[in-house]
Amino acid sequence: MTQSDSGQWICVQNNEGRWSVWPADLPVPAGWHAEGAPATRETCLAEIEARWSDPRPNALKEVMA
Amino acid sequence: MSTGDSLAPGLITLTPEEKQICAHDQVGQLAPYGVQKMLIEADQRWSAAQVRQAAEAVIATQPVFSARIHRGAGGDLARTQKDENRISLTETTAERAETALASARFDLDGGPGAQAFIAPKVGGQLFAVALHPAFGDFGVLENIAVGFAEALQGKAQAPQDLAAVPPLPEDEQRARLEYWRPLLDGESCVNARLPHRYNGTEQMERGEACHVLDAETTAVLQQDGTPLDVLLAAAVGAALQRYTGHRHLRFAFGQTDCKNTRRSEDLLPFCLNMQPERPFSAAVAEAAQALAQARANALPSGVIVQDMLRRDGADRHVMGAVTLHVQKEIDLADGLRRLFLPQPTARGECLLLAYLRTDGTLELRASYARGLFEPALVERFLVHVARILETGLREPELPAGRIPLLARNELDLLSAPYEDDAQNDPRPVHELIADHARLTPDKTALICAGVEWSHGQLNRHANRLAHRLLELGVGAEVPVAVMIERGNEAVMAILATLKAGGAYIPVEPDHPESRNHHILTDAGVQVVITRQRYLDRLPDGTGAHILCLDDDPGAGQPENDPDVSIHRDQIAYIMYTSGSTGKPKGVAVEHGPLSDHLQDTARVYEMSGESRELPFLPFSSDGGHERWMNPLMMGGSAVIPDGPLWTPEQTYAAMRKYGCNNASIPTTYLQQLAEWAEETGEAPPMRLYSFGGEGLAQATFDLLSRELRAPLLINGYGPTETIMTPMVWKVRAGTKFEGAYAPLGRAVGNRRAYVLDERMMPCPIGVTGEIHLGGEGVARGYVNRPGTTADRFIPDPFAPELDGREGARLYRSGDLGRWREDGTIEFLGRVDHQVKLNGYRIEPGEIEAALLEQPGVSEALVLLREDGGKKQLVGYAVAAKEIEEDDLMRALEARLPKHMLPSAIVVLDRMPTNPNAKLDRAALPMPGARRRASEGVAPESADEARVLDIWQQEIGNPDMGVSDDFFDMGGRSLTALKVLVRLRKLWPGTALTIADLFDAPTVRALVKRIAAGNATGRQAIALRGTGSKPMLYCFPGLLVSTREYMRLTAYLGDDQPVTGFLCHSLNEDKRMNVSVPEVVAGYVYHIRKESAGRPCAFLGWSWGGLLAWEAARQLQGEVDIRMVGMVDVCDLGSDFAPGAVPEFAPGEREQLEADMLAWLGKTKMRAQWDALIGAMDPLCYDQFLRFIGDEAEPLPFDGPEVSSREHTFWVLIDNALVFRQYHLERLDLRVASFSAGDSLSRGLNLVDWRRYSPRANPATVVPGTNHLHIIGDQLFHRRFKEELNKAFDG
Repeated sequence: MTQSDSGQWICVQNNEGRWSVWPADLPVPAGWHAEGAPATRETCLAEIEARWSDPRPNALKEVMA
Repeated sequence: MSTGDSLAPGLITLTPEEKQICAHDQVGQLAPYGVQKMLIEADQRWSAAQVRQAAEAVIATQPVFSARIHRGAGGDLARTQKDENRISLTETTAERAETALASARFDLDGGPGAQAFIAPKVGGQLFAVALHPAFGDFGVLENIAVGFAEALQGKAQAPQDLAAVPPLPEDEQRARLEYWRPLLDGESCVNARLPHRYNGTEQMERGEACHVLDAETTAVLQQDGTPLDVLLAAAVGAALQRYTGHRHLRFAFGQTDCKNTRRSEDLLPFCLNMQPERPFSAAVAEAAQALAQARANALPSGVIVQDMLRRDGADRHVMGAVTLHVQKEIDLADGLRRLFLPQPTARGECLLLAYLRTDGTLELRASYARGLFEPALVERFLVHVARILETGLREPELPAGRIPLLARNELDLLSAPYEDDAQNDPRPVHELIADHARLTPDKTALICAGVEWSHGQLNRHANRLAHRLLELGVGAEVPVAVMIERGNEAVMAILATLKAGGAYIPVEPDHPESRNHHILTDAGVQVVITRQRYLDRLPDGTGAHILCLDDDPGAGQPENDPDVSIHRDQIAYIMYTSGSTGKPKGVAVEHGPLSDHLQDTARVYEMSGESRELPFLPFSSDGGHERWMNPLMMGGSAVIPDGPLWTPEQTYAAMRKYGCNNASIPTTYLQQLAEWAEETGEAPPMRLYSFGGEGLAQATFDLLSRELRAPLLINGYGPTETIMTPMVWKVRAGTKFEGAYAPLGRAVGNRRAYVLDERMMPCPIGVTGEIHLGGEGVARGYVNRPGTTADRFIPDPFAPELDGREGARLYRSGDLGRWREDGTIEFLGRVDHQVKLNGYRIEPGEIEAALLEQPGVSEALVLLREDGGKKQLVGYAVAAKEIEEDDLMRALEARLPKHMLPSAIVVLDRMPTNPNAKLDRAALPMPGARRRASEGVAPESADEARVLDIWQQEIGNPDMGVSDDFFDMGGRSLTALKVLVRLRKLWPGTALTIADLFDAPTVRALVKRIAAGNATGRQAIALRGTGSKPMLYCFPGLLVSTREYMRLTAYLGDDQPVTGFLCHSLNEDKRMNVSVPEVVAGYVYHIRKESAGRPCAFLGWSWGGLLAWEAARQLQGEVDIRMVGMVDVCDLGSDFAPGAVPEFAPGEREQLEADMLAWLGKTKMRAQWDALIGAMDPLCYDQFLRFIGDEAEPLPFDGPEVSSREHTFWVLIDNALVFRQYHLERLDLRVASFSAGDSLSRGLNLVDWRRYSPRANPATVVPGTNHLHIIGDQLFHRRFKEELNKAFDG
């Protein structure tokens, strides 16, 4: 199980619109950006559960729109 | 024991360390200490005369050059310092000086301990010194070098004294031991080890590794003024934290006092709390504090080691498996250069030396047990220590756990997929399959239950159904359930769904209804393709269209390919994974990655239009779909089994009938196929078998490799979340691998596989971490579970740098693994199976590996189970019937640390499986039910009741019944003896011995034997009566029954018969003045009668070695004795050796005699003691008095009970009297001797068998065990078996 040294995580989203979480004390990998403030891992995952309603990647959404 | 303080004037007692070295020398094993050498080159600045003068000045003033070691009666050693013994300087040639150094030999019995040479050399002079390690170590040599340099520069040398270390006051020593015990024995601090080679063992052979930090880097290390030893200790601690995953860890830290003129080196245990989330500076502060504490509680290492080794199960390397020494080269005068570097004693598994040179560089050197470690692993470890030092100081904010150990190029190589630079077709898989309907419409595509479909036929059927699905509104992102049994029509329905743009969900009609209902409702299925007969298994109210294939739903639809364009990102299928907890989760896989994966895999599997595959994997696993899609998209065909289970016979028949060349089969079933082939020899030739689903043990792989007649084998691995088989290990049959399980191999296609630690840092090769898979070949995520998807699919921090891909994702597999030297990954178990028990982090996989190493075990599983609120580790082993659970437990006891031992082992015929042919953990039985089924069976007769009563009392177990095993219930040799004494009172007429207890170890069996008058009176016990090898006779040590040999007997295996003799002291009838030949007579009679011309072998343990020797002497020429194994055989110490005259202080002898007489007045064993003392000659009597005086404890009078201290004491003295008369004769016998590490450390007077037989070798040292425990030590068992086999073969 991956750890964050500070215990803080952030929600991150990539250029395809997929979500994940990342330790707040590490630089966010290229192609991802932070969304929102640092929180516990559980809080971040709960937020993603609420926000990520359309699982389709951005490119597919555009085609199907 | 004796003589400690009563040395003759001029004799200097040896330190425990020095005694230890002499003991090693005595058994021919000086190698770990090595001859200590110094070679200094003086250039032209110094004349030959100056060099000679300086050398002579050092020799005249340093005590080592006038030292000797003398052996007293009974083998006691002492050192002398006498000026008349001072050695002289030898002038020679450079070549000879170097040869002399390389081959220096010393005579410990009174010879000099040093040699010194000077020699001219081109451009200068050499000064060389060699020391026997008992006389001095590298610290002493440094002192000589410094003295030499000073003398050369004209500084007068004053004579130096032999430094004496004042012993610690006893209470202080006790207090310090109390400080160390919990740290060394407790569970709080792990003895850190580098990862061992699979199945590796520790032997004497050492390997060397070196890594040099240049002067510039080294200067940086010294900038902030932290002592170098603290800095290195912190770096090694941080590196070991990364290698072991443990925070509280310890290793040994070398202490060197270079001003010393005697031995200067010793070790301290060093306990650290490493916090990877804090920066390296925190580790440095921790190391400084820990070092100060360790030094404040310093004790000679020998004291700590002996204290710890008294406990059974103590770590083999008490001080630390890893040892670190930090030293600075002392600057000598200008124009002087050392040609050798100091070499600390090579102890422990891995010795690290950080040596700061005068040129400013820092050398990191390692000397390690060659049998335990891959050389490359140790070399890398040194590099990683250096990286931690450099990065840790350069980036003071960086947590120590995030210092990269692997360089970018190393990570690139390790994580890389199978090489493949082909371009993939961008079209989805069903279009690739449909190509062949156009190209080869009549070629067979599918065969099931005798029905063949051509590619054209399959495509037409699928198209018609696809058009119907389109009418029903199926399109992108629309889930369609295919609930049909595996077969041609299932494949057709799946293709139809894909053609319509929908996402198929395979549903096995036979699977539990609750599971299927969940699947059918979870993803919002809009169409269900099924059959009439499965309709009643559908849940109500799904709102989905139901299409029954029986109704021909495609009737009237066009047969052409529907014109539907597929986007790379749209879902192709949703596969439900069982998951260990909760409801199955749907994994959604998109078309782009799926098509790429299948094309990449087809190339790895070398698929073609000729491929005809038998895919045995179920359709409820994604691998099952890969294995029909692959041949079809290449224009080949698949033979779909028409039932979930075929017998091996049916499978082989189908392979033959249809000419299959590939087969993909679950590992568990494949093993049955191979077993059947082994029996019948009827496996049809195949091109390729692929398998997966479970860890594949070496034995199973060998079986497949041998029996299946296929040149190519592929072990596939992969979580559903990373699409089918993202990793494969592709090998030629017959390949050998190191490890408990077959490697998982490398990533396939556009993927990378990583082993990462808890901080997402790549693990070094050999270090366990979690397997992560990244790249394009990962699933979209879990249907309707965005949180879980975000939790398991995480940003890939490596792809931007390694592949230039941004925004990529990495899947956390939950599987533990490690990189192997060849870059493939080895599977080690599940992260969530990793358990914590009593504070230890335990990987069941490691215990499973140890179980799998036992002969006859083909599968192993270790679980943490809860029974009545108590957590315990339980081991399950699939093994042949004759494999005993106890034997497996004994084998594990010898291999694993205590905290990793399962509480119980259950042997099974096979592992229980669930409908997917996967292991069903819940169906594993709890232990106990079978082992103690007979517990508490009540006695049925008065005799049984009387015997049971005695057993219960003596063993102290009131619950035992008449069918419980005496020894299993806790009976020991001495308990047995006490029981026998009481039984003989009940049945005075019977000749019961321990042999009877062995043969009939339950109350019921023993009573039966007594009633039948079958008591044997034997002194010999058949520990294993059968086997084709020559009999091994075991001769007992003092008060040894034969129970002690059970583990060895188990280890030697079924084919090795073993007989154990009872110790004569275990007899009740005490006879005085017996001689060794008389003691042996009974054994000799037995062997003579039993061997009847057949060869045999002997084993003598402790004093039993002398008995074995005497028996061999009596039987020589009569019986073919192939080998005598001598296990830690000691000669009589000086206590009772003939000629060893004891010394008394004035009045002491009289006082001791008075004490003894007072004691004799009180003891109940008066008669026995009188007899014994009466048999002593005057010298022996004095020795006895001295012995009493040296005893720390007061004289015991708790006899005559056999388990009393007094009885043991009496037996000890009785034995001494027996053995002091015995003289070992020279015989011509093959002797293999073994010495316990602790016995050597104590400097026990071990017999050097090379003095008694021309066919004896130097002793094999078994480290980490002592005189009592060696007989149960598996390292000893292994060595002994090797020697025995050599003796029998040659």
